Amino acid sequence: MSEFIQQVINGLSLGAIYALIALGYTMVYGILKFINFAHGEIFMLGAFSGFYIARLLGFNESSIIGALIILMLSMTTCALIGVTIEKLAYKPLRSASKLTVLITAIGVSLFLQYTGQLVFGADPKSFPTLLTNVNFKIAGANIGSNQIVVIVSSIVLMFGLREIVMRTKIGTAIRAVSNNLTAASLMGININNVISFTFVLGSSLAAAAGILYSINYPSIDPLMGILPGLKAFIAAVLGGIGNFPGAVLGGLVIGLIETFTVGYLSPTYRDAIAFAILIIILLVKPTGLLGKKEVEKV
Amino acid sequence: MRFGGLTCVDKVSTVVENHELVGMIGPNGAGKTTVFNMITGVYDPTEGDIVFNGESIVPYKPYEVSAKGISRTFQNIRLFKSLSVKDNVRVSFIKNIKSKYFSSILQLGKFSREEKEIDKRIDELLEMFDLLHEKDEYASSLPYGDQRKLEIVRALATSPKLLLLDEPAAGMNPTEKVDLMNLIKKIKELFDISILLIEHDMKVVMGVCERIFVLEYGKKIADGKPEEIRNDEKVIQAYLGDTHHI
Amino acid sequence: MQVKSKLLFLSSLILIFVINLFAGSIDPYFYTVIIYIGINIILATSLNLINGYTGQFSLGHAGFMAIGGYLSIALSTYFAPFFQNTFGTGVFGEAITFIIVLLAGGTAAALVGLLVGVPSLRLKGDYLAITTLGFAEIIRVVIQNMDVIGASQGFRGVYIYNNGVKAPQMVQDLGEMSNIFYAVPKFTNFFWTFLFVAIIIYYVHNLINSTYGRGFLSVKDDEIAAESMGINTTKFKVSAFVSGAFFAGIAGVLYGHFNLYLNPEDFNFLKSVEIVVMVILGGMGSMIGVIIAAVLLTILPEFLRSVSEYRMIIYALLLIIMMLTRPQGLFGFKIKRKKL
Repeated sequence: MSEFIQQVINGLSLGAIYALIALGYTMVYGILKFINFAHGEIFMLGAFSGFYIARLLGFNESSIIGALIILMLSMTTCALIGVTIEKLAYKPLRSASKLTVLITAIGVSLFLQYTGQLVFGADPKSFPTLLTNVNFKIAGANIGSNQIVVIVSSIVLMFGLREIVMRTKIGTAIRAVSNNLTAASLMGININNVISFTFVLGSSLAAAAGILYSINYPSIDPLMGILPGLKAFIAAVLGGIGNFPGAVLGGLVIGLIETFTVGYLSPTYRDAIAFAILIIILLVKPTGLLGKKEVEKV
Repeated sequence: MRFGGLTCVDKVSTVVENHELVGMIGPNGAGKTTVFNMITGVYDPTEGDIVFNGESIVPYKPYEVSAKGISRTFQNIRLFKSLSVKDNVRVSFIKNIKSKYFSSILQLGKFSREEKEIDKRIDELLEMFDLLHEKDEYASSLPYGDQRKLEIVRALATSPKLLLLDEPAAGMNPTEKVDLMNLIKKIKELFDISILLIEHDMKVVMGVCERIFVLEYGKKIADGKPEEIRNDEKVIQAYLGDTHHI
Repeated sequence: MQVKSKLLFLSSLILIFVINLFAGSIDPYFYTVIIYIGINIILATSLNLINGYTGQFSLGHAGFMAIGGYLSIALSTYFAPFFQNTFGTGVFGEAITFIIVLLAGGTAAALVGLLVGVPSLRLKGDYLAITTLGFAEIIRVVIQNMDVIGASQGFRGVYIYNNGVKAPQMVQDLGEMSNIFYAVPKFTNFFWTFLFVAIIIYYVHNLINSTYGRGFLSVKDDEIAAESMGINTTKFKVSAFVSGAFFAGIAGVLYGHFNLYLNPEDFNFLKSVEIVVMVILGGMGSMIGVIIAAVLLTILPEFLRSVSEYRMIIYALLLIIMMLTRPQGLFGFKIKRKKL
């Protein structure tokens, strides 16, 4: 039983990170209808910018304020990177075929990975201890304080996003554009601003995910974004792409299934299981758990 | 047919007889194209039945419906844009050819003879619609009117028994429209088929169709000979409003 | 036209056979590059049938290559005694063995292609891409967990004991047991590689230029219109996918019996991307373009050997710049649309 609780906590803290990344996929997909393959690399850049910002600020002992500053700064950095990528690579392709955009996104993703290897070095780096981990026992399960930090911060960020999307003007614009881009632009919404803002939101959440991930798994490398990126995408599909609560639900489910696979089945299948879930969901209910069905107009 | 909570086409029933040229008219959004999509299997009707030659075609997929002998054109032209005019028509012959996958690769058996035969028939069809001189152009580079005609040729090349034309004359000027309608009438005789066509322009439909039925908000409000429709109060009011007179 | 393509095919076979007679005098380094060029042409052309002509974006071609490669080297090592006893070890016997192994590898890949294709080809665009990527990853992870073919350490051959018990071991302890170690035989040579290059070019060319083959292009252009004209689009998509997988499997067999060692990492996501880059650079649906791109992208890394860390960056930039400037590929042609 205690092991079970332990796995659940592990699963939730991993799933919360997938959920944060998945929200970015879902937002971009909702508006531009393409998989921003490079989103996983923003997650990686979040971790690396945290690493370098900490070094730049001479950060050397664990403190909550320090951790918050680093989190904010790297979220800002990645928001800028995200918007730049959008402007340079995706914006010129607004009217191109979906395939063209997808291929470009794969290109951007590879470019960031391998430029990362060149700039940061291919060897893993050790992420600074932003917060000292304190282990404590609940019902016999070993739980790290940082796992709780991850879960709590994710909840705070998700609520923040919810407030922005549901209560602000730009949030309403995002919802309008993802409902119907043409109609929204005819109503006078500046589509380019909305898209940029979407990238700001998505990228800063991915950066936060990168930092939170590195707090728990402090070894970071330029290819670290590939698998979490793909799994978060799968989470978004599982929840119903374009659907915010769906992305969170999907992230948690993927995180839990993954830790249970590792814990009870075999660690070697941890990466295959997410793809198996993707294939099953696409075949059984391609609209995802919370998605709506759309009919193609002829 | 319902989409979500919206009932688009409700209790429409009509019969297209052999060798009949029937017009389907109705205001925008009346559900005319939806009727076509249901007949051809693109959408499955939520309720009801569609019978062709005594057989229900509801369970069939579009390509199976095509195999049964129903072909169509599209309102918003859907030609194969990376294919030449000739090849657009060629695709329609695939469902009836003997040389399938491996015999095409190995060029076995009747392959060469069949290819020549198809080439000849494509030329004949294009000639009939005055498109032969453009046969090697990309379909998407044709003028608009010719694209519409090519859609008809492509549909005819599947050797249908029933041809569904979705606003074949859209975007043409009145003279072109009349020419096209006469051509359609000729096709009907020549190929010995039935035609159901959607058209906005009442005058055009009145001229050629033997029977007309009228849809409004997904319901059939009239069905009869052109002169009956012309004098039908309901049609005049619903479809044309009060300001128009034929 | 048709007589011409048959003649061309036969004469190219003779040419390949003749060149193969002199293959021994080719510098081993160049020989290796030439074989890899051939294998990459097979991979790129087969993917072009799926991605280019039929418009179904697959990102998992390396998975099918892995199936063909692994199955075939397992066959030619585990069953080495059987093959040697039945067909002998002469040129002729080896040829028969290799044909069997090639067909087995290709067929296995095609079967897996069918299994993957039937469900996933219902999906479109990015969903299909990510699903095929997922299948390829699953294939790789499964191989990584299969001890009989070396798991994550890779596979060079097997020890077969006299009592018939077979145990795969790593090659390190070859010394004392070399008499019963069956390494992957080096069957692949110029002849076999370019025989299949010729076959796939002839295959795809004839298919696409026939009336039946135009169906693939119609599926790419407009599925709904194609269906309405009587094209069973699912059948076309699946058949393109399965034959593409078959040839990817063949490429895997050729690669395995040339490299004599396979590792699951040879078939990761990047390998699939590399094949996709060839197709895109050449121009999706352009046979000549894709062949040229396969040649260029095989030679390019050789020139970039000193700066190999830039290789993937260059690939990535190629992809992005191509999409922004010439999405139809270097050698593809753009369809001009007349203003309406």
